[in-house]
Amino acid sequence: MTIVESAIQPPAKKAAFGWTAAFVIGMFGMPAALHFVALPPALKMVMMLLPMLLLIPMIRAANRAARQCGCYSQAMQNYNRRMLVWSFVYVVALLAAVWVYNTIHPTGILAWAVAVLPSLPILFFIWSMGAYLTEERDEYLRQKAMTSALWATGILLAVATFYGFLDTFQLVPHVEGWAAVPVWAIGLGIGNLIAKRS
Amino acid sequence: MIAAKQSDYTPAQRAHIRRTTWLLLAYAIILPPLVWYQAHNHVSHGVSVVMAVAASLPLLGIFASWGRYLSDEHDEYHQAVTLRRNAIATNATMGAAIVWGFLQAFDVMPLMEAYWIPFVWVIAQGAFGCAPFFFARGRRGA
Repeated sequence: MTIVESAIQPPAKKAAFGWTAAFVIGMFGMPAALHFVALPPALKMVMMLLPMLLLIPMIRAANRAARQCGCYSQAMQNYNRRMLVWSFVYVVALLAAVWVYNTIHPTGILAWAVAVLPSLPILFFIWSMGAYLTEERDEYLRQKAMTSALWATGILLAVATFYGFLDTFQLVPHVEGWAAVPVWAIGLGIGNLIAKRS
Repeated sequence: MIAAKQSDYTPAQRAHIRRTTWLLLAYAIILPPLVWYQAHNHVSHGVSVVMAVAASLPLLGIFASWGRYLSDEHDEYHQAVTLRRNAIATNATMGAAIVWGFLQAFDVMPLMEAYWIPFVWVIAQGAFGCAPFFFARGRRGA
């Protein structure tokens, strides 16, 4: 890339931020918009998948931004590719499981299979995080990821302990176990910010 | 021989064990009367919040102590082993939480209190910490 080209192109970080914002708005906006529109359930499910396509440019922009700031590695590329895979499979598996649950009302082994189906891509996501830490050869990046993950774990354990006792003393409703993963992911974001500042 | 001498521990490990012991003792003293009081009396909302905070504080202290230990530990080998154990326990806990969570969401299993998540994490950590000991014994026995 020439100097003129790099001056014309917006910084990769800004592009990554823009695509991330578009993805978040799409993921929350689409269900909200579909709530007010009368469409067949199958079409609604397909429409819900559309904002997921924004993940592709988002990951590409994030890779470009990482390359520009010199914190890019092959392990990170593998991790991002796996993230794309599990995200798409997760949404499809979740929508399929909800559809089967609402239409067939499964019982017995089928109910177990339907319930376990959406958790499989998340298990792959958990594995891919472990695989990233194993594959990462850059000690600085590995240490950064480890620190963020530790913060995320600490935040998850603290939130779960505190919420659990609020639940025991009947102050808040029960929460489903899968909430652990979004709480951990939010903690990972907070951990990233802390790791950046330190 | 399972028991290790005090001199086998690093200063950071000794401090962590001391902190954890006191906090577990506080937890064992605080929790039973709170649960008993909640079960046998009509408790107001405000008092319930204070009771929940009081019950969770020793456990929050234990998790903070883990963080402090990792920051204080200067022995790179011990630090790496602990980090690895933490990562494995976190992955195992989140895996269990996600499978159980979807079983709950689809009405296959009952809802459980969130404090089971740290409980599973602690058990998973202990199990992965003990694993090398048992594998070593198995190899010696074979």
